[in-house]
Amino acid sequence: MMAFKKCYKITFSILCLLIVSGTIYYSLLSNRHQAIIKTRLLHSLHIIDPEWSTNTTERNILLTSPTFFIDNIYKSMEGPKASTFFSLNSEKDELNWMTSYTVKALSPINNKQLSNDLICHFNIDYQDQEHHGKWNLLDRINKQYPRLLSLSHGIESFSFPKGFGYPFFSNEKFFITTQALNHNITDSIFNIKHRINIEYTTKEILKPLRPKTIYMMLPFKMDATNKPISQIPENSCIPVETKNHTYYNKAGETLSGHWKIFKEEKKYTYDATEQLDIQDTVTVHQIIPHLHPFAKKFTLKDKTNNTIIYTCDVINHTNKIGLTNTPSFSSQKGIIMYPTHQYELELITKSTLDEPQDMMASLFLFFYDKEMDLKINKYNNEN
Amino acid sequence: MKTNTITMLLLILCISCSKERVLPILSNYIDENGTTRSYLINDYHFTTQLGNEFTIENTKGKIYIANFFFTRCSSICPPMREKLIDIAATIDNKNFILTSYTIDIKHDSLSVLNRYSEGTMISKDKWFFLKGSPEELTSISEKFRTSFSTTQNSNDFYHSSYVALIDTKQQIRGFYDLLNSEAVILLKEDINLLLNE
Repeated sequence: MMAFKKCYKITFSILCLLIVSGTIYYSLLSNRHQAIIKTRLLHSLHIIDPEWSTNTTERNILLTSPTFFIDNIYKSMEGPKASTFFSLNSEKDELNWMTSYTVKALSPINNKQLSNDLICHFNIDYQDQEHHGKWNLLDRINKQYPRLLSLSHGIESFSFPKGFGYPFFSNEKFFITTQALNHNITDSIFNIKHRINIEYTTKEILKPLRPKTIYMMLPFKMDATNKPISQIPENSCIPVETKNHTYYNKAGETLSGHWKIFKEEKKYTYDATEQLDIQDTVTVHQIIPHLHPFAKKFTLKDKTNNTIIYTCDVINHTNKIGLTNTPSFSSQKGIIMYPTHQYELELITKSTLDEPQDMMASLFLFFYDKEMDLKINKYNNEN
Repeated sequence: MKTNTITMLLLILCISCSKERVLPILSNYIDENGTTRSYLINDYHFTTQLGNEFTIENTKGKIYIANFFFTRCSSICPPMREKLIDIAATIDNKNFILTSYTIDIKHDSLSVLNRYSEGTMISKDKWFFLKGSPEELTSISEKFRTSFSTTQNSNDFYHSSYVALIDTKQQIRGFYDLLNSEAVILLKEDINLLLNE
């Protein structure tokens, strides 16, 4: 009996110690890491729905995320998130075309649509080996990150111009991630889901588009995080953190794709020629921006011609933090881009808040894919 | 007797209703004439970390995964190796093996590969570290729908972080990014799916 009591006491003490140390460890974590742990815990205990649901029809693929618990301010890249793989039909090997994409925030209780301010981003990645391997385009494999697109706060829906689409086979696998956002709501705790709608067609023959992602990167020094903004050189930055979104250029400089902005208008430029890596004259038909609140204007310039390819006049909310609209570019005619030209991204930011805010600036471009079009024509003639 | 028949019928009905996920066959491509061509991973000749031949005979009747690496790689190889050790340790089935092809054939001698293999603590008849001629390496990397380069580029990897999953009929059934934890979970599920096929 005494031995049992002693054993009970030791177990209880260890348990208390674990709870206390666990609580201390959790409280020291960043908001982003707390959200990861919280979401995992709530999902694994089935306190909130942990499952993705997929529903496909002849015209669309509807993916509904697990439930996300919103109990805090979650800035960009901080909120609860979920990922999954999907294919249209793993038993079919039929050519289809994606034509439009939408992401919405919903109430898990009644499926009613909630504010788009609760959507940080939704990404789709294709599988390089499957997508390019199928068309025997082996020289394209491992050449760029296989991101098809990202819909984000400010642009939650878009359609390719009429007559264009993204070709894919029914059994082709895609990887999606969706992340929640909450810049403003502090007076309530609630659950949300994200619903993604991908429209596609099987019957039509469209012109294929090839995706390309480019993103702004700014140089920084590792000790920059401790310096006041006045001491930071022009067109360089203070990174949000130095683990993720940190890159190195050929000169060995460290660059960040996720940096802090302050309460003053600021212009940043970035030479995007190398990232664009245009090998042959191409036509761009769709451009989707990815920006954070307090972005003001985002432009892609042809420096050689001194022309503007795309400019995004950002509309920020006036009464709260958030993006009302980040207009995209869509054109059947398209704009020609050249392998010999120099291209530049230019971003103007202006925060209205005293505390520093975080910024990212990317573009998702879609070029007419002539090489794949020839292959698809031959494939259609054979089938 | 009647009850047994009903139970059996219900069981058959349940089995036929619980639709198992099907892994597509990915070792096919559309040629320059628009015709779909299938191929098998059945013609190769490599040497293992123990100096033995590694050919189609070693993979007959096996489910296996294949990746490219080099022992001096300090960027993506260490986390890839960790995931592969976990997969090798988790999937305890004699019909499942792992193959890793070195792309650094000058430095990665058989003794270097053997030492690297010993560091994994995985049986040498389960995880094969393979070395071949540059021609063999290029040929098999094309079949596995991957590529590698020998010059470091800040925007590119030396090699991909993906593994290919191959079935007992020498067909590719999936590609998985070892640096993506969701993909590793799916890979384990798919290996078990093929082992139970």
